[in-house]
Amino acid sequence: MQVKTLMKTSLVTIDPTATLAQARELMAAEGVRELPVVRDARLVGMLTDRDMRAAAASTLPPLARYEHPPLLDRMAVAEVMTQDIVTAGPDTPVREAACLLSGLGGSSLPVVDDGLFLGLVSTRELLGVLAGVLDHRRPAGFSHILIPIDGSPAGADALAAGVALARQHGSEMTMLHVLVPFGRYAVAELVPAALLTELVAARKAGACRLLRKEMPPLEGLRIGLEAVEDDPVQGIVRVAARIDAQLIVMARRSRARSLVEAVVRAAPCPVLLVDSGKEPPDARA
Amino acid sequence: MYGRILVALDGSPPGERIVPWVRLLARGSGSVVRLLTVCRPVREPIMARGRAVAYVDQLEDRARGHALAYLQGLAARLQEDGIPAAVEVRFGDPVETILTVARDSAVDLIAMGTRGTRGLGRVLSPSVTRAILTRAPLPVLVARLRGQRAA
Repeated sequence: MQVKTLMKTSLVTIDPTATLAQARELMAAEGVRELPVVRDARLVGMLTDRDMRAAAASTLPPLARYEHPPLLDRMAVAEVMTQDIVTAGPDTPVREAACLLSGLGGSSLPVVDDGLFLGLVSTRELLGVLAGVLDHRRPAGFSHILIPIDGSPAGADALAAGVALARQHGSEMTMLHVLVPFGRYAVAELVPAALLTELVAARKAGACRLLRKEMPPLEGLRIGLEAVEDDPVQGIVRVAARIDAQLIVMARRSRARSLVEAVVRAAPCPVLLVDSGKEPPDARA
Repeated sequence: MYGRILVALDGSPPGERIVPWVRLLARGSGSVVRLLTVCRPVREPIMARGRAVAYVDQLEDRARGHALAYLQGLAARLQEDGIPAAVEVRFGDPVETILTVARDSAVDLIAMGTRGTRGLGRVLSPSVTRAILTRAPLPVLVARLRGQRAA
């Protein structure tokens, strides 16, 4: 995204020969704290609230204080404005504008094209972009797809759909197998501790073998394999959040319907539920 | 990959959350999108002091008008991205209507949110989504996306 899409263009500007009194009135009327100073459509400086306050600071003796405001009011904007300003061009990427602004400590970055004033990009516009980026409602792309694998034929169909999408969108793929934690099984209590670690390791190894067996030919795809011990639903949801997946692809099976529904409810991204050719859709609603 | 996509919407922001994802899927793939809203059928006229003030067909027309305006706004944004988009408003049971339209329009994918508001007689609820998930003979893209992310 470039600055020209983001900047505000219908702005109030002020002439360098205007007085500070006029500037103050304009700022109050428009509800802004800075004004671009423009002469002949060219940007010559920025007048901010801060500049005006700096001009007002003085060491005049108390008696002269009554004369001071009128003096101030009649000062020209040109005497008080900041002239050495950082600007951006209309095609500057927004990311760079954000860096510039954060370095400036100011709130607005003027946009000029060969000296001609075009508009202002302020922190408010950038916050809007940030909110969009942080909010999954405006995805930038399917950069990472998560495919839970359980070794079933229906799961294989989901994998095929996920792979097709990943190729189409150039996404990274993660194949995930979630193991129910062994400790959940009552029999775990009966297993001696030393054997327990071996068992857990063996299960994980088994899961990895399963994943490698299901793995499609790479052909340029980037595929990660993950085996985790967790609750079936939370395992998927947590990994999706950790890898920042934009899509989870699962098989929609009537047997595992509650699992599917639970994942849909908790997932941090949309879920694509793929038909399995091997199981007819459930006719009961 | 999914050439014809049916998006079931109910006019509410939570229901709309699926649209950016549909745009992603459809963009650059030549997919065609159909936006559908199913309004609850109007059963009774509005009565005031014993007289019918608004008749069923008038109420339905008004609901259809609102729904169409809403859908056309969304369709225009999709079309700006080069995605052909059609709109449709129907009255009836949400699940049956969505499935019927999906079948009649020969779509490859149904996309929907799981939560909406019940205002204005439009219904998109978890139970509707669940029924579609169970009964639709085609893939379904569902976005729950708890929008309560502080933003």
